[in-house]
Amino acid sequence: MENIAIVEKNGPNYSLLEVSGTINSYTYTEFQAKVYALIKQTNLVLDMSRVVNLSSSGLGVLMAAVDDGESLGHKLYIMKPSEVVRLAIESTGFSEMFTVIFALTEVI
Amino acid sequence: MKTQRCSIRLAPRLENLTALERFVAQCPFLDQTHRERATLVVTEFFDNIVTHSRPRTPFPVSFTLEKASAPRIVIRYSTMNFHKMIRGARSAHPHYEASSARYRGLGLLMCRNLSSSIVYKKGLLRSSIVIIL
Repeated sequence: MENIAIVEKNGPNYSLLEVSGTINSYTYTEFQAKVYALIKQTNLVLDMSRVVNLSSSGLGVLMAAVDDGESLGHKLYIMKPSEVVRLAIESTGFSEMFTVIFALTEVI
Repeated sequence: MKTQRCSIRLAPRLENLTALERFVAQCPFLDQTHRERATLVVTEFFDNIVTHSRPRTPFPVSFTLEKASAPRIVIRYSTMNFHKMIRGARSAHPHYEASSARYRGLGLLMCRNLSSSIVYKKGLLRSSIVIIL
């Protein structure tokens, strides 16, 4: 799928996905599959500093992943959200669902 | 004085979201804040149109961005169920949908919260959505 790139890295108590490009209805399926698989296993950090669009489909995935993680004792972190990601999250009125961090040291 | 505007016409297919994002990114008169809002709003409406509208004719969806202190976006398209878009916009409520394993009903809520006004105009051949950011 074009226009989205996801790089996976692993830390001691988390997995990190560095996401760049656009998360919309055309591109979100790979993102959804990776997020849902990883949040079942461990804490998940999403580096969203290079995301240029986050649609409601992507946000819907994030919200479901937060729920899934909570039920398993895992946490989802949004790291360094780009301005458009921050705006998209705020525009839903569900900002309080998400834990925003600015460095991996906040997870370890 | 001539109004500055940018326009694009796209076939209603999800793969055209990329072209729509590029169109907003290249619009010369939007500042960064309005560009981000415009990107989110137009892609949400286009997604909704592609996913839910029943086209009356094979017309493409047209987008026009006009320069103003608060930029104006006009979306025009042919549809037989514009009333569903209006109803959805008024009653948008987020909910979890098990079949898609994600939350739905966020898109039109986002559009409402990212705009200062949205007007829905039902037309005989083409309906339009006028958004002031």
